[in-house]
Amino acid sequence: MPWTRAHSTAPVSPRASCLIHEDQRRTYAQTSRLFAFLMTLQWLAAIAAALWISPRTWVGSTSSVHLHVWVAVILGGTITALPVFLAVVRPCDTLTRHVSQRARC
Amino acid sequence: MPLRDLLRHNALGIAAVALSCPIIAMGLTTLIGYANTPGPAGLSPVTWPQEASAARSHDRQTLLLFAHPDCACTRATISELARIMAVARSRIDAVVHVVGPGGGPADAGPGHVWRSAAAIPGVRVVQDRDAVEARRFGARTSGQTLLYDARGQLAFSGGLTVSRGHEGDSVGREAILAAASGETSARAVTPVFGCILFGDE
Repeated sequence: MPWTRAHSTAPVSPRASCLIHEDQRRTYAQTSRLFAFLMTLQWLAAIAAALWISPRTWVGSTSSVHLHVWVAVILGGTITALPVFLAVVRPCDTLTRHVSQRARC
Repeated sequence: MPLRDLLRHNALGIAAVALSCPIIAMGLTTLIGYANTPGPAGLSPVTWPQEASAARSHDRQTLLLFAHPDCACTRATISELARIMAVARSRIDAVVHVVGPGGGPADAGPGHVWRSAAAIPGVRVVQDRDAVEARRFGARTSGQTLLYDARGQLAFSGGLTVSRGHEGDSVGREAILAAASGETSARAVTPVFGCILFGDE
């Protein structure tokens, strides 16, 4: 949300405006990095959960890695990679915040 | 900002989104397809086989559940069995056959299927090491449940979950509870979701 002067009609000096925008960008970047970290943590937790709950699928006495593990690694990785990538290369963009929000759903 | 500048400024992000969307869609489709694909169905005898080593109750319904000792999907089936037994314990004699060489008390230790089934009041757990009973009763997929009435006639055959590893209301549970209540209806058959009990060896 852009900064507004809702409670004041005094003009904002160029220096103040510059500081406000710098602070805003810093907040955006910090938030994007925080969510990049949380998304990565969530992905690792999903892999750990898949390995704990359903590590292998069985046909009689033979087994193979369960689809849930592959899905946690590949699908979870894809869902995680997008917001993390954008948080690294475009931490202040509106698109980054939208993608991060959708990926968390 | 004009659309052209907007697209140019966000080109990298838009390309990344466009690349990811098909992969995510494909992954979700695979996952949903897997969860809703039943295992192979066997042909269960409509009358209790005389040569069966499992004992049949003559005054109550007999429920047989065949389970792979390590199948993750079967956890949900065992939970559904617990719900059935909580309601119809006095009318159903339930036996869980753990199929295969592992997972029994004589092995490295009872597996999760054995432990959770044995913890249900009114349920007996036996090991079907060589899948003899499973083959005899036409069970191919872990979670296959059969209900025979007191006369030895098959009243229900199928699974107790609506998809792999998903607990909740199901046609299987309703059919078994209806049969246990003495409601006469056509024999219900439902798909079974779980691991394959034995190979083709």
